[in-house]
Amino acid sequence: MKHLNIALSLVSLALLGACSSIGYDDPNKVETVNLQFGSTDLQSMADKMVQSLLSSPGLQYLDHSGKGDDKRVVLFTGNVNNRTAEHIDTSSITDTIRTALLKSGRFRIAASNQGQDELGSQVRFQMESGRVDPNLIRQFGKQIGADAVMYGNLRSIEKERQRSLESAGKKTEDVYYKLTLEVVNIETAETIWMEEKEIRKSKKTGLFGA
Amino acid sequence: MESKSSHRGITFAALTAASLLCACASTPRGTYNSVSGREGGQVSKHTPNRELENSLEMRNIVQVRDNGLLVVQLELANRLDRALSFQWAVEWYDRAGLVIDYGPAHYSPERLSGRQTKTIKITSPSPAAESWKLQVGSRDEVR
Repeated sequence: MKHLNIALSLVSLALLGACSSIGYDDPNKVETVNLQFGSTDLQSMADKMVQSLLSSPGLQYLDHSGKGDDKRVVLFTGNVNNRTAEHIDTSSITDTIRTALLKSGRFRIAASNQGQDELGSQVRFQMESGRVDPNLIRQFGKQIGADAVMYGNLRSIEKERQRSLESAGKKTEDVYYKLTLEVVNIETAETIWMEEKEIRKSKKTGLFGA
Repeated sequence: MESKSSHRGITFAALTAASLLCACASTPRGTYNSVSGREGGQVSKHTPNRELENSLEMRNIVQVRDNGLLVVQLELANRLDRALSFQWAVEWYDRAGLVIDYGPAHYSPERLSGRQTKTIKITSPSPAAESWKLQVGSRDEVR
């Protein structure tokens, strides 16, 4: 009988092991794998910023001498400094924001630093390689100038309370993220838009949880 | 005596196996409820998930055009005495009814305490948006 018990226990473990699977899932689903910055945080932050940028009256148009009939704001997206303790690629947030702003048709987007590097190497190739028809060589000096620059900071506050009698053996971890972005008029250095998005995530682990 | 103990052992092992299997099985997920509207038109609700409908009310819906963009505001009210977790997402459509693809159309997680209400305001991503659909469902998370 002892052998039967052992066999049944082994079958149980085998069944547990057999449950592992890989599958495709919706990238827009809420993700709570752990407390660290995740895809839902990125999407929520970008969404809030896009909605605010699109509905801001101060960004409906920006006129100055030399600008043609198109009065849309030409925006350059600068850096979002990661001031959290985690490694977070904040360019992913600005990429999502730029994509949505461009698709909205309400903004013009000046090339990013990565874009400028790519443009520079392509123009140099056209001018210096001798492989491109001289009549079709593109020149520097015709880029649009950005009206405004967007930049900001991502910050976090992390707290943890260890298990104690007072907490009935529960461990609590809490993380608070705050993304602050601003858009500044290049000529006047005036902040013409500013927005914040806060996110709080907490995890409670029971007495025997890891 | 030994036989009794063996039976207990078998029962325990069988229950362990069953519980391990259950832990792996996907939990039943409810269908989504939705509320949709068209600028200047009526708002309609589709609530096949009665349990969710009885727990969460979507009310006081306002839709206006502001700065050329369609803005929708609605109040989410937890009808229960305990906390309620759910998620929502919105889709926007142009005049022809084609979906406007703008990027971050994701599900937002929400948690309302018992009887708590929350007003959400969503702005269309493009002036072309003329109608919308907000879907609300049980939390279905990537854990």
